[in-house]
Parts: sequence; structure tokens; C-alpha cells
Amino acid sequence: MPISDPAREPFATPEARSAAGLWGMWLFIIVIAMVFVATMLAYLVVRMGTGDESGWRPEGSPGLPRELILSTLLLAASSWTMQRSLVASRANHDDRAVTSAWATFALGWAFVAVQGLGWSQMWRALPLQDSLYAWTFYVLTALHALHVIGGLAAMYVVIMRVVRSHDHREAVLGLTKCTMYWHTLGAIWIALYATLWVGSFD
Amino acid sequence: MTTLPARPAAPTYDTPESDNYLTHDKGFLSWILTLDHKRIGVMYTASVLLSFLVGGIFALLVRTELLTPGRTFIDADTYNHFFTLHGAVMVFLVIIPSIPAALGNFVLPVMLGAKDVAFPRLNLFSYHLWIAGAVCTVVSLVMGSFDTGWTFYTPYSTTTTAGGVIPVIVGVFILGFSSIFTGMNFIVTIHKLRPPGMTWFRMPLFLWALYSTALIQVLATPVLAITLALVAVERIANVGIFNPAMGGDPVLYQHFFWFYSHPAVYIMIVPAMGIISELIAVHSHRQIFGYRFIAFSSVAIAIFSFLVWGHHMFTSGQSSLMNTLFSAISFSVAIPSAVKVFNWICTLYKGSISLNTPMLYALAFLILFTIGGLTGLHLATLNTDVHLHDTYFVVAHFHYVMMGSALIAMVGGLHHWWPKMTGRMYNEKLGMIACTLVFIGFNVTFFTQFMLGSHGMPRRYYDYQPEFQVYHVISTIGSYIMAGGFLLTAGYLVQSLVSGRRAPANPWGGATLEWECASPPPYYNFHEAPKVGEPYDFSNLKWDERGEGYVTVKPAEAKA
Repeated sequence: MPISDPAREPFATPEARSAAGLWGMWLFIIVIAMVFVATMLAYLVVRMGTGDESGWRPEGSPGLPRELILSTLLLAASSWTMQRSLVASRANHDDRAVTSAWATFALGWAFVAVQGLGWSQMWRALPLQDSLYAWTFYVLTALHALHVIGGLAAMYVVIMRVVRSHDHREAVLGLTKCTMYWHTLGAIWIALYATLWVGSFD
Repeated sequence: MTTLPARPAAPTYDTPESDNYLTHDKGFLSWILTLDHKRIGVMYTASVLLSFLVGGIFALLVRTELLTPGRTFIDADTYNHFFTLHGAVMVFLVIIPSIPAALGNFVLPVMLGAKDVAFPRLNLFSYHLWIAGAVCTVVSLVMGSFDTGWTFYTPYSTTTTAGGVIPVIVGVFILGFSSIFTGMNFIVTIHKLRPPGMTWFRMPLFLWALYSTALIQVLATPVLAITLALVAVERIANVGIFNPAMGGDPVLYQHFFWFYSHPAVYIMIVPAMGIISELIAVHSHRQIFGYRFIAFSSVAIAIFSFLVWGHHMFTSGQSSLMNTLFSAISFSVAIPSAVKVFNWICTLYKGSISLNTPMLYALAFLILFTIGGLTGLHLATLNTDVHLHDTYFVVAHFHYVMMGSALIAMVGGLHHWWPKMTGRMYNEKLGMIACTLVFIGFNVTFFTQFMLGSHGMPRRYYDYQPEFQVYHVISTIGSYIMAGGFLLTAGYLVQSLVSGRRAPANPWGGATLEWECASPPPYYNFHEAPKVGEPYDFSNLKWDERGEGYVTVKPAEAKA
């Protein structure tokens, strides 16, 4: 592993370093947002370009799986626990922060599991190759789910660091970044779900 | 012998630093796992130049094949692979990273007066991603290469039988993230690591250019990433949103591709303009003319870059309202570009010009960029574009801007910072000869292509009417001359590493901070926080015969 030399530390103070870290996180969120905005735009262009007569949804195909409502609730709940974790950490209660963060972690996996359930429901009636209606559903939700899984992996690292180290400032910083990312994914999911839902009507 | 007047302090060139960034650590791992932006910059430079050699060989093969109509020495399929590889390697592995990632990484923190970029680990990760992307390209070659053109247009890219499409798409996807992370790093570095005294308007113009570039990298590259990911899924599943068979839209691909790739050409040209601002000011030893105009025109170009992508698609069936809007906005890019050119020329006027290699490259840039930029106007004009679209005229325009401008600036910048990077001076005479060869070869190659294109020769074609042959032969001869120039450059640069004269700290008389530290810079960049002055105030710098470099004669605080 690369070894950082403290003498080459570019920042004068740890606070300056943390502030820069948050800037980096904001830029990363812009990157993620660009990805999803582009994807949803692409969806809308194709959806609106398909006239009603040619049929977006094949005859007799199901609407969006009902599991998505449950997964939306789970993701909303996880955003709430994530925020609680950050608030607790800022109030110097790192223990409570860790508990709430684990709750978020569990809810996040529950979200992924329910999404998988929704997928399998859909797949039985309508495999990927059947229509663009199916293709966009699978690809867009999978894209979001992959970002959730990536976020959960990062969250695990952050929580373990908070548990092991007693650097309170680092704990707050890590949880702040997690919260920023998590709320972003939540907001993106709502926008994505709404887009898919509106698009699913014939 | 006359006695020399006593000088206040021993200049750095008397005692070349034995502990610099090149000698601080030894061994392969100390390079490949380094967090030092200078070493990362050097590794990027070496990798990019190696890729340039590869891309250049493909270019020469393509030009050689085009010597005669029909088959010259390779078949049509191989030709398709070769021009695709030339384009993809040059765009994604060479020009996009050449200035920001290679020279930018080396220069940016030192110029800014910082010890490193804001996120050194992310910086190293960017380089490793670059390597991974390059490896994917090689894997693609092994798996049957690709013949889609560097633009990967659907539906061809999702249906071609060439076996290497998926690996190269994965490679470009990874390279995109390398570029995004570099951009993020530079934005945060410039916001958060400016030392006291380094206000926004004391920042060297190269940094303004890198900042504007970084904005584009962060905002545009994600769109390329998702677009290519969708193409890959479509290719694997045989279904997708770019496939018209099921109501998908292949033109959507073009919109998305150009939404990235037009800004991407500004990722290439904006930092090149930044280099030229440095070269022209330093080598004409004159305060840059219109500092703020140059700085803001970089930002303006970055903003315009997002609003002109449709000019690649005038013939795609886009509505005439859209065509008109895109045409009009494309014309307005001429304004900030011309602002820069006028400012550079005004800087040269009455300057004390050192006609050395970096300056020659800067002058070559001025000429080539002006030709490249002005021919862009013909392409932005709707009615002429219908005729010129997909002809060699576009190829020539593109190469005047991307190679004649972006790459020439990169090579000029490489010469400018070579003494700083390596601590050695190259052979000035050979440098000037090589630059002249490249300039002549370039124009012979590509000016001819303007004629080819306006006479109707389509781009990418393997075969052509016999009446075009004379132009193709001239163009190919030009490419050989250019190759000779670049080989000579490679030769004397390598020779300088072995036996070049030791470089003084400030061989050119630059006033930006990188010239205040030794050549090569110390491991810590600055032993003490540098005093930030005006970046283009050359009045305190005097040529010193003994050290053959510039020294500061008056302390900087005199004018504070």
C-alpha cells in the first residue's frame, strides 16, 4: 500500500483537510447525479418517442411490481436512521450513532433484497429481451441498486472505523459523507421510481 | 578576469539538490505506489508518450494504406481496425490525459505553491485506473480488436462481429473515471490549497485553464460512462434503448455521446490554451496582455462546451430549429477563442522574444489553432456543413485543433517544463529543427486534407477515386515528415536524460512559483512556504551568465 508521508501533508490543519474532503464528496455527488439525470433523460426520450400505437408495454404484461412500494418505504426509513446517526454523532454520542448506522446498513440490504424480489416477480412475466419496457425497468433499477450496494460497502468501512478508532472528528466526517451519499441515492430513487411509474402507463 | 560582485545568497544551481523528488526514494514500488504528484505526473507523461507512439504507428499505417486507391498493403477490414485504434488510442489514452493528468499533475501543485494535490491517494488511484483502461485496450486487441470508429456509434457498435468491443468499452469507461477523479482533485486543490497571497487573480493562467477543464471533466464524463455502459448492456443482451427494432433511438446515442465528447474536445484544448498562455508570457518576457480576459474566456469556453454538441449532428435528422440554435451557439465559441488569440498576439507585440523550442511550439500553435478554429466556422454553418460533413475537411479541422493545437501545446509544454521535471536541458538546436519538421509535416499532411474534403473525399474510406490520389500521396509524405520530427524529439529528449546539461532552477525566466524551486523540485516542493507574487511580472528576473539561468535580483517584498 502507498505510504503517506506526514511531511508532505498538503493541508495545514486537519480541519482544512476535512473541509476539502466534503468538497470532494459534493463533487462526487454531482457526478452520480449526472449519471442518473442522463439515464432518466434517455428513458424519457425513448419513452416519448414510442407512439401509443406501437405499444410501450407488450399486451398483457404486468405493471411495475408492487414490491417497489415496500422498497421505497425501506429506503426512506434508512435515510431517516442515517440522519439520526449523523445527529447523534454530531452531539458526541458515537455509540448511538453506530447503532443507527447499523440500522441503516440493515435497511439498505433489506431494500436491495426487496428490489430483487420485485425483479424476480417481473422476470417471470417479462424477461429482459421482451421489450424496452422490461429492459429499461431492469437496467435502471439495477443501476440504482448497484450504487446502493457500493454505498453499503463504503458504509461498512466507515462504521468499522468509527467503532475501532476513537477519533471523534473522523467519525463525524465519515458519517457526514455517508449521509450525503445516502440521501442522494434516496432522492434519486424517488425520481427514478416516479419516472418509471409515469412511463409504465400506456 | 574581472571579479564578480558578491551575491546575496548562493543560487540553487551552484549546489544541485542531491535530495530531490527523483532521488528521494528508490525502486519500482517507490514509483508505482507513490503519493507524490510529481512522480505521478512523470508516470502519466511516460505512459501517455508511449501511447502516443502506438497511436502514431497506427496513423502511419493508415496513411501508408491510403497511398493508392484500393489495396496498398492491408485489406479493408484491417484498415477499419487500424483507423479505429488510431482514433481511440489518441483520444482516450493520449490527448485527454496528456495535459491535465500528465503535465497538470506535475505542475499544478508546484505552480500553486502547495505540497501536493488535495487527495494524493485518489490521484494515484486515477493513474492506476488509467493503467487498467490501457490494459483493457490491449485485451481488446487480443480478443479481436474493434472497428467501430472511436465514436462507437450504434447500431454498428452493438452488432459488429469484431470481438474486442466490450473490452474497449470497459476500458474507456474506466479511463473516464480516471479523468473524473483527476478533475475532482484539481477543483478541490485549487479551491482549498491556495497558499496565503495566492488569490484567484494571481493564479497563473495555466491553473485557470486546468480549473475550467476540471469542471468539464466532472460534469460531462459521467454521461459518457453511463452511455457506454448502456451500449455494453445492449451489445450483450441484443436489446436496448439505442436499438430501433423495438422503438429505441440510435440518434439518442449520438446526442449522449456528443454531450460528452464535445466537452471532451475542450478537455483537450482548454488546458492547451493554458500552456500557451504560459509559454508566450514567459518566453517573450512580457506581462501577459489581458489576464482576466484570458482567465474568463477559459471558463466561458467550459460553459459553451455543454451547449454545442448538436453541431456534430446537423445531418442526423435533428429539427431545423435545433440545428439553427446549435449552429448559432457554436459560432459564439469563436468569441472566447479569438479573445485568447488576440491577447497572445498582443503579449508578443514588443516583447523580448526568446525564439527557443517552447516559443516555436507556441507560435506553431497560434497558426495552427487559428486555421483549425476558422475552418470550424465552415462546419458550424449549416449549409456548408451538409457538403463538408463526413469528409476529410472534418478530419483536417479536427486534427488542426486536436493535434495541431492540443498536442503541439502539450509538446511545447513538455519542453517548457522538461528542465523542471528532469533537471536536464535538452539540445535546443535539435529541438528547433524537430519543431520545424513537425510544423511542416503537419501542414503538408492536414492542409491537403482540407482540399481533399472540399473536393468530396469522404472520411474513413478505404478506397477512393484515382483523382484524389495525388492529395493522398502528399498527405502521407507529410505524415512521414511529422513522424521524423517526433522521432528526433524522442531522441534528443532521451539523450538529454543521459548527457544533458544540468538545468538551473529558472532556465527561461518564468515568474510563477515552480521556477522558484530547484530543478528537479525537492521532495517537499517547497522547504518553506513560497512568497506569492504576480505570476507575469518579469521585472525582477535577470539573466545570469555564470549559471546560465535567471535569478531574482530584487526581493519580492519591494513591491508589496
